[in-house]
Amino acid sequence: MDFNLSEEETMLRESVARFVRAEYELPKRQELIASGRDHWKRFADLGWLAVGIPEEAGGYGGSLSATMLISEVFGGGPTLEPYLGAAVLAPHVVLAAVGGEASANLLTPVFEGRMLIALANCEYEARGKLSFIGTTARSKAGSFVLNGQKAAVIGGPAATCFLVAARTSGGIDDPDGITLFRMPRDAPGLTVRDYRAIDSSQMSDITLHNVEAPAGSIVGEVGGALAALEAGTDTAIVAAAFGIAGAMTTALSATTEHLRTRKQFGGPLRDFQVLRHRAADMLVELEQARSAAYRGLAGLHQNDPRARAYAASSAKIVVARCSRFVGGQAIQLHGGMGVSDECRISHLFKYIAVTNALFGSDTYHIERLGSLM
Amino acid sequence: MRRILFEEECLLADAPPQHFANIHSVGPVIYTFGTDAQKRRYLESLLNGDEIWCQGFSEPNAGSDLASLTTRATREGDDYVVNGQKLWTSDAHEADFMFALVRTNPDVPKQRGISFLLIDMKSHGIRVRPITLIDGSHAVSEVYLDKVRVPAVNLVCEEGQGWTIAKFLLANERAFSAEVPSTKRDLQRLVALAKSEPRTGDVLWNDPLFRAKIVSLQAELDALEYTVLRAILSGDHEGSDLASLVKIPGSQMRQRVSELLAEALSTYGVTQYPPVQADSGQQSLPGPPEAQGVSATFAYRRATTVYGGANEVQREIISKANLQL
Repeated sequence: MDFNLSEEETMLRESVARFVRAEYELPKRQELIASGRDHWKRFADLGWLAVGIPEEAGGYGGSLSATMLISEVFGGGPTLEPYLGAAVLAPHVVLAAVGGEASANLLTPVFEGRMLIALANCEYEARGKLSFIGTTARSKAGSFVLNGQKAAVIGGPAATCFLVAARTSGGIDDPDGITLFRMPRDAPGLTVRDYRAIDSSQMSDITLHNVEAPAGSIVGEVGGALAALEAGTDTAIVAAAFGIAGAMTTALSATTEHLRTRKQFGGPLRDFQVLRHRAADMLVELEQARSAAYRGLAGLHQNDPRARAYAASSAKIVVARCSRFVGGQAIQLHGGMGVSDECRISHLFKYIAVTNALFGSDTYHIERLGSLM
Repeated sequence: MRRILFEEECLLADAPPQHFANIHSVGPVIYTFGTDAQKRRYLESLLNGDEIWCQGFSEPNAGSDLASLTTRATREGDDYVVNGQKLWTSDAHEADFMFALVRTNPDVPKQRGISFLLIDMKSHGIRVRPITLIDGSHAVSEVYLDKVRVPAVNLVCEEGQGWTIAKFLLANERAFSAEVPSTKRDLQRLVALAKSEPRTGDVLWNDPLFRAKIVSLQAELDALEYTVLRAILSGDHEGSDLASLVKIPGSQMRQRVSELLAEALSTYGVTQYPPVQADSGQQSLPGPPEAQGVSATFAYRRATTVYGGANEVQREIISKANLQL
């Protein structure tokens, strides 16, 4: 395992970091939220959406570690665009479902920013368990009819196309029988309810009422989508872990800066040992989280579903605990400013909370990891 | 990297570890700072284990504040005459030599008046008093030095360089202070134990609440192992000095796994261990064979957050050196 960035990766990191610093510092970030504008097209033009995706699938090649470093820097903003959902989760599910070359048709317009794809697999009741899908797809004269509900579709509001996971056979928790359908946003019978999470990221709930999907809209194997959902989701879990580590890094450096400059009782806050030691604990937990993310990445490289699942769940558990601590203590050490909307700490805290809630809580992943031990 | 792999394989095979003081403490000091004569005299025998070393650093009034140590070494002709007291000295009762920090100059700032001396434990004037620890073991002692004559050729480097050498020695250790291989081994034992010990008609592993504790610790250990690897493999490239961060979580995890091993055995996890002088081997405690040693380890592991620089001292170092606070 090599923890040092290549020259190319270092340059990529610097250019992404420069962009994030310039465009997401407050109050610019709030202006973006208020106006509803985003930088998605810029991301695409700069090639960031295609990083870490094999060339035959329409990507720029390079390793997943480049994807992770973008995610980490984005988390440090935090940015608002659905990078995790539309550039990591959905593409990696497609890649795992149909393989590199066959993905190019669907994914090239995604990487070019002409189409935004959102994965609609999660259902509220599943709480992270990917096999738990109640949405049905009944076959009818060469096509399928879909009925059901999907929750928390990342990037749903901007999506032009959904990748819907539905059951073509089996019971509600059956590992077999799950099939992926691509469908346009305006498919008859499909209603989208858009909303924002507390970190202002965009999500949707989807209702499918007798939505017709031709057999040609199936992505991958009929009934065999679970493996692809697991692979793509584990990749997204690790990318999220890097994103959270990025947010924790920003939160800690803002906090140490605050301890150096804020004066109370006649001196800077850093004169107080209790605060210095809290900051030291924050650094320990930050690096613990970053290591968990790296370990997760190593698991993705292993090409063994069990090792990958283990690594992703292990990372999720650690990152959730560490980031709750660092996010919470960053607010605590900032005092009143920490809970103000005008201070970036509150935004980082909310980004951490939302990202931890994706793909199942740490409680679920403790259960999942236990089943692999 | 080789060291950590070797250490891990030894532990996983339940093989004895390398002698810490010999191999990881004084050995590197002698081959880095020692004279040719010192290297010839000591290195081979400490490597093959013919001679055992102990570390004379802590004193009754110099624990976390090690630099305030007062054991005095005064030059008299070709000898130093050493007077003072060392505490928590591991293996002192078995050791052939002690490497010690002694004060050779009381008139300069405290770090600069310290020297690094190699002392023969058979010297006249040395008395070793065993200390029974919380686990009933005798692994550490108090060492009294009363007019002990130490040849001046046993000084390592120069007078006043003791603190620099001690920092070198401790820096060597920092990346390993997490003791991940040991916790890894304990966690394996814990999982095996939970999968075999009974609980209300099932095995303990199937208690989701207890299993969650084990799984959470496993995940934390997985991550910590990567911090150690990052510290070793990427050096200082990341700007933040990672090696100084691993002792706190590492020591906490060693405690945690010992707590869970004890919990896994219910009350058999807290049975009284045999007294120090007992004829061991004959005595056996109630509970499964795996219970042997669990209660003693559980008690002793409270030391992990104290020794090697108490975790509060670590936090002070991190806040100053890593965070510039």
